[in-house]
Amino acid sequence: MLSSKPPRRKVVPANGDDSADKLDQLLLSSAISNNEDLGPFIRKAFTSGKPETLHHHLRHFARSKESEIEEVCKAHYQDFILAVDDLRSLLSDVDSLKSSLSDSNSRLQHVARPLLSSLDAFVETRNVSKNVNLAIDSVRTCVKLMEVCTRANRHLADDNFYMALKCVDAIEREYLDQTASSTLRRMLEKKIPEIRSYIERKVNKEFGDWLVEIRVVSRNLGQLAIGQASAARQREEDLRIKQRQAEEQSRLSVRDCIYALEEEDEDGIIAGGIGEDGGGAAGFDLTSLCRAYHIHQTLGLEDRFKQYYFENRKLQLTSDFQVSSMTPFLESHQTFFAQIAGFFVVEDRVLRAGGGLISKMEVENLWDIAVSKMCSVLEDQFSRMQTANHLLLIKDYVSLLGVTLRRYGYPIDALLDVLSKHRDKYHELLLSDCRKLIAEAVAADKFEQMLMKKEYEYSMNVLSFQIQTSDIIPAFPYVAPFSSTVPDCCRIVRSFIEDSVSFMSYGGQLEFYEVVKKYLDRLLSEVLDEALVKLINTSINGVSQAMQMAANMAVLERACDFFFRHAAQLSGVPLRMVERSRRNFPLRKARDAAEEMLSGLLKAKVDGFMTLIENVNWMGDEAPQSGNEYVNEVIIYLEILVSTAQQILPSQVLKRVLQEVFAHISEKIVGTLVSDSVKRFNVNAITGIEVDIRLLESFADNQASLFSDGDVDVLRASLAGSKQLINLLLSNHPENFLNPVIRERSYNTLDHKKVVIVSEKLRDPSDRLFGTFGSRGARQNPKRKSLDTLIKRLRDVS
Amino acid sequence: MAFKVDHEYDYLFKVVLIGDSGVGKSNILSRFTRNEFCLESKSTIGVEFATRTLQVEGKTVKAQIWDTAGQERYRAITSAYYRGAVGALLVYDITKRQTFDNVQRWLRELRDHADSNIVIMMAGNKSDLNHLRAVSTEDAQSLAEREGLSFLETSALEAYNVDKAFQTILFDIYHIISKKALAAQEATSSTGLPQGTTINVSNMAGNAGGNRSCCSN
Repeated sequence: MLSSKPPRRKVVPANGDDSADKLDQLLLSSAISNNEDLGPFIRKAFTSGKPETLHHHLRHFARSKESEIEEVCKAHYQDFILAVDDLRSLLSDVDSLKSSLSDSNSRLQHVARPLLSSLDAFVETRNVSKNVNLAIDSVRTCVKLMEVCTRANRHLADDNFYMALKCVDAIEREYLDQTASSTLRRMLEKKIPEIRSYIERKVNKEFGDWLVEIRVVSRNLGQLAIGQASAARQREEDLRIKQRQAEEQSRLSVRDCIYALEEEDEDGIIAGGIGEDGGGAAGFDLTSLCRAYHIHQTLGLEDRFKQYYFENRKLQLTSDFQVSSMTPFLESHQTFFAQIAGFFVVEDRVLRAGGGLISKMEVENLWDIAVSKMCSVLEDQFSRMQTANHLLLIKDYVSLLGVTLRRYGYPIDALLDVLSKHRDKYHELLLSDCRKLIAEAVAADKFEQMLMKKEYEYSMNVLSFQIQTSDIIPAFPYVAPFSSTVPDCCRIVRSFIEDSVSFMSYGGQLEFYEVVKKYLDRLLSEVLDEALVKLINTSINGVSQAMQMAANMAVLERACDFFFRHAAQLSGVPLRMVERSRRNFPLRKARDAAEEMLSGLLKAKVDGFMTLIENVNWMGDEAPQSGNEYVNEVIIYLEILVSTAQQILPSQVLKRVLQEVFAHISEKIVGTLVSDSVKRFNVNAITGIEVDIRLLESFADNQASLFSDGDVDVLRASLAGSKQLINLLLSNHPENFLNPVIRERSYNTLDHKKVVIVSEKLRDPSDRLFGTFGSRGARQNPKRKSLDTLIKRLRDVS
Repeated sequence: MAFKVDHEYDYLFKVVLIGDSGVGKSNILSRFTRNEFCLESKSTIGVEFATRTLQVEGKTVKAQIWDTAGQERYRAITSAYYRGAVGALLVYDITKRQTFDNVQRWLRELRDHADSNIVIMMAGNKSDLNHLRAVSTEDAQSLAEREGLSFLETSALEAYNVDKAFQTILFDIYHIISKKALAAQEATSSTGLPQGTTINVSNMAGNAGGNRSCCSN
């Protein structure tokens, strides 16, 4: 055991003592100086098996420290004794001081007691002063508050709501929190909302009153505005009339500029008239409205008020749209439209001067509603109207409404569209009215020339329709070439033109002459022409009446030129443009019917005389030298006819009628030769007919002076048929008819069949004189041979 | 000892409300009988009636107010509606011209179906909407004078003139009844004792019975 243990212990201390001890001591010193826990070091000492060393070191250390302590105690023993002595003396001094202090305190208490009383009084007084100051401040605040309240009440009493609201706001903002009195504060908290509500109700009531008032004002305002537009239009019309007169007289273009300048000036005046000036009937008051709006803005209720305003104005507008079913629209339409016009004049003002109370889009919204409603009402009312005058009245007022509101910037195209849409209906009604009037006028005609005793009658019946034949005023009494139908119908047509132009004027369409012309054409060609044709075909009794109608038609032809010129003038179209355009006569059918009627009656008359052709001696021994009886009668009649006709009929008409009559006479002659009533005739009879034709031609020549163009050949040409036939029969070479060239030149009116029939009837004189010697086989006449050839060839052709 | 009365009233008057749909008849009724106004505009279906008792010259009058729809499709009840009515309140809306224009038609119907002695008052309702007025007071006054009607403008919303309208009708009815009662009383003077008068105007031939006058002691 001992032998093995010493070598291990020997090795460990030898190496560990030097380095390990140094390191441990260093660490331990650090730990001690750092006041660290020494536990780990102690445990390490014991686990390593070296406690003795540690104990040795500790004991050594302890003995060195005890030495030091003894040294210190020896050195300071004397100082300790001295300190104790000092403390003893100090104690006695303190006891002295204590007595002294007690005495001072007693004396001080004795002296200070009066001062303490004063101090208490002072503190109490200061508190009182502070409270009084607070009270004074509070009262001062209350005084200011009361002053503001008084002002607020005064403003309320004076209806100065804005100032009242300002006072209330000031009270709420500046005094409510400062007010010490809870009673006062509760009162204020209760009254302030009440005052605001009161102001709101009051202002709303004022606004309500304004709404009621503005409706009456709107109607008057609308009527006034439309009245001004009407007056402006009247002035414009007067200027146009003067301008037309000046143009007709002098054709000066300078005057137009002068009138235009004047019109522009007047328009400027008118434009500024409505609602702009503060005074007069034209002005209206937005004070209540602006005040209400301002108050609501101050109350913080701007949006609500704007909404309220818009809704109520919209309701008022909707109420304005009601059209009474008890009152005819014709009576109520002016009020209806004036109310709406006035409404929008007011809204325009509110838009411009209301400070944003209503927006442009909202006004346009209201206007769209109004236009839609007005168009609907107009459509409904127009669809039920059966009188043209009623449509015209409504149209005039609507166009004035349009002019009025366009001046305020409202678009009126939709309204004008409604008017245009009913243009056809209006004109149909006009045509219907005119049809009745014309039928009455035509039925009243006595087919007698009108007698005018005074100049104004001439002016009224002739000059006003420009149907005079001379620019010289005739002597009175004056017998007109026409009957009463002519001026009566002219008046009806002129009224139609004026009514048509009235409807088309100011209707938004600037160039309406073509429309007026179209309807005028319809009136003349459909209504008047038909009425006249009917009159001519049903009511004519005798040649004189037919002649009067033909004369009337000639006059009406001139009147038609006037009608279109008149329409152009009223439509604002220059006359030279109208005259440049050529136009067909609208009453052509009636004119043709009149001339046909006259021709027919004359032919019937002539037929009566032509029956005398039966008395012609077709196999006479010699030709009558002064014509047959029938032709002399006809010529006598025609001479009388012409002398009468030339008083009322224009030469052109008379010429056309005579052409017809002559052609008829020619046909009758040919017809007689062809008819079975004539079995045979000889050359002498044909020669007599030739004399008759020459007598007629001579009569025609005598009429040349009647025709302005001096064209008398047309009358001769009317006798061509009979003349060519007679020429053929008297010709020595009748077979020339077979030659196309000769036939076209000399016999172009002849019919093949008729030529055959008539030629076969021609008998030679030798047949009768030498009848008994037929058997002798005498040589044939060359003409006879030619005629036989013609007959044979024509038969073959047929 | 005091006797308990048989009825709470001396007279029962039937009054009908007529006029176009939407003029406010039902609200006039509810304002008068229940002091209520309903902003929702519901159309009346069929017939409704309500009562209210009030004093007319010392007499207790019970007003039985009949309200009906203005639409055409409820006209089947017309005769029954008007039977026994002694008063009519003809209502139009001052903001709708058409309702005023139709007053003539309602009058014609009233005179066709109701008793000829019926008391008629014309009422222009919704007078609170003065800013939307479409029928002027003058126009209505002229029509009333022409047709022999009483006329008032009312507002069921503001309770303006509603009570007055009914009181006027009941007052006029009472006076007509009184005159007829007086005539009947003179005719039956031989009986000595005054008799109560029946409400039915068309049966004034002295049909005793029904409601009696109130007697105490």
